[in-house]
Amino acid sequence: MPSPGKRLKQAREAMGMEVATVAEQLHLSRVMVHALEEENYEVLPARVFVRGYYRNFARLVGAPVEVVLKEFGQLCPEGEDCSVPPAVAQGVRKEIHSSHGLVRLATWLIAIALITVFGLWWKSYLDKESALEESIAQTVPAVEMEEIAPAAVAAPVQTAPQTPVVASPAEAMEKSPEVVVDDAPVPLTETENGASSGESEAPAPAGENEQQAAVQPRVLLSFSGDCWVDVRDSSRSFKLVGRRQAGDKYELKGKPPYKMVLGNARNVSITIDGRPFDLAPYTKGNVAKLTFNPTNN
Amino acid sequence: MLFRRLRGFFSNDLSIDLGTANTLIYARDRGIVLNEPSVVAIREDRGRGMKAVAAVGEDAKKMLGRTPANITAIRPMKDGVIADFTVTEKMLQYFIHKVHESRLIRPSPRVLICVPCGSTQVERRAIKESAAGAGAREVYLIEEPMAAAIGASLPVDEARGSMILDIGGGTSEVAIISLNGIVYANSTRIGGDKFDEAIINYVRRNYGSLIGEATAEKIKHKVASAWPENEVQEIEVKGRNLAEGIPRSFTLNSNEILEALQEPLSGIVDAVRKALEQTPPELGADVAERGIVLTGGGALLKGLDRLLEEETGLPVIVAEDPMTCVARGGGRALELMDEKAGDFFSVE
Repeated sequence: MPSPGKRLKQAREAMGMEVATVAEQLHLSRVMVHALEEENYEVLPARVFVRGYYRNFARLVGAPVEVVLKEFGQLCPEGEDCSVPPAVAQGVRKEIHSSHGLVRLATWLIAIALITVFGLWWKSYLDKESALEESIAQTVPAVEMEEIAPAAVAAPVQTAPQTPVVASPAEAMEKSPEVVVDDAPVPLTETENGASSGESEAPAPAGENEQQAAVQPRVLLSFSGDCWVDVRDSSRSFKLVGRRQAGDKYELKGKPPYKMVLGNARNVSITIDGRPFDLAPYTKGNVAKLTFNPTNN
Repeated sequence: MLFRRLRGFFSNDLSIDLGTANTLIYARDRGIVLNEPSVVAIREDRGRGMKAVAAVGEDAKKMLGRTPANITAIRPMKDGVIADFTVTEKMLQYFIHKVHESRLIRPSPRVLICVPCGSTQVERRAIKESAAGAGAREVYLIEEPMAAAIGASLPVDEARGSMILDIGGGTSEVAIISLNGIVYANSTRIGGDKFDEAIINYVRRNYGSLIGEATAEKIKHKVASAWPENEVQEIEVKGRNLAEGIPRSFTLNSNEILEALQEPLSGIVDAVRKALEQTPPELGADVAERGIVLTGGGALLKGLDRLLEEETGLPVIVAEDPMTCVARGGGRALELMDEKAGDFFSVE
């Protein structure tokens, strides 16, 4: 057990000095010199002072200063307040600093939780966005079909203006495309003669996927030379992107319509259920850009 | 409160003791990360009229008094305050950069800088702006004796007076602190530099020889003492003999240096006496009971504590690691600022 006090007391006695003399030389009270010798830190001031007193004391009585300070350091490590009696010291709650492990852990947890919440929100935001796009994409063919239907069947063109008289045209314009979609089948069912073939060809417009999947024709892309392609379906589940080589064949999956960019349209031929599809109307400078719906062609 | 903690967790705090002789930087959780002389060497390109920093710190100090015409080694701080604004900014920039050398992303740190308590508003503003120019996010100033007291782990928050004497390179600060505040503070422009100057003057007067600042500092470190010691130490130095104009070697001993230092030492003793005179009696009694604490590089001067003890009749204590007390205290002050909501003590 290191004992700087005892060591100093021995050194003082060896020098033949009284406590009073030491106290006078060190400019301290006798009580304090006694306390230093007995290591009674409760009556002494803060650690920095006690350390200084020991240093001066050791120098005065010719004791090795370094040894005394080292022993004091062991007895009262830096950062501890030795003037507080240990019993009380136990009762004092230790303050938690920002560098404390628990605080750090908590901070990290909060940070991770925040990031997760943000990630979830972002994901749901993306989903919502894609769902919206999908619904728009679904309405597009229906509108196209509506345009086609009167063109194909000449007779309903005259009857069609009669039916919308009930709902004013302005109102129909204001309403979203979905409303138009609901109206679309009306002339088809009414004019049975032309619609029978049209109905089987054209899928039910408002997203009846099962039926659509059943009717969907097989679309084959075959390449006779190098070509850069970018094909995406409306549900984002299928895509074909990149450079393809001669002899490659791909069947289009996912949900029509497809958005297509063919970098070298001359080298690509498309067949729908074995029937060839003409790319020429969509080709400009050998690049074909089109929204392709096999069911319409 | 939580936000403050969070911010404290991610922020990067530096406490800088921007001294006349040495600059020390204390980084939170890392301790003292930089201790270099406040010297900058500037290379001038005469052809293009451009100036560039040639060296900073230790390297620049070696150049002091040994430079060719196109390089000037200067100390941008004088008497504890900025003497050359631009050079100080460059120096701070270099030091802050050096501390963050190993980091991939260099954050702009919060910086606390210690200023002498006698410095004027203009001088404080200059220090603040040069730190901001060197890339600090926020700059706080703290008075040197307060930082020194915290660094020496004095019980500053108690309702008892503690007296601190910080002897730096350019200034010495004496202050009485109680309840986290400075009750009395005085700054005198006597410090390590004045000791060197006194040695140079003494050698010129008594040996008719001229020595440089670096040699004077070496003499101070090796043999200087403020109180007569039992054994006399000697040192051999070389200086230019003024009469002959040729470098000559001669020997100095510690008693001669003691004589040489009488003037600056008496200045420091006077400052302490004055502080004790002006202290309110209750606090004076506390100081008398516990003593005066010495910090700063000047505290390393042998026998200074003995001299002050004899002159004042009070116990005098040298703090642990006195050179770094101010920087460490500044770092602790930054931590306290986060923990105790900032208004804990006077930070500007």
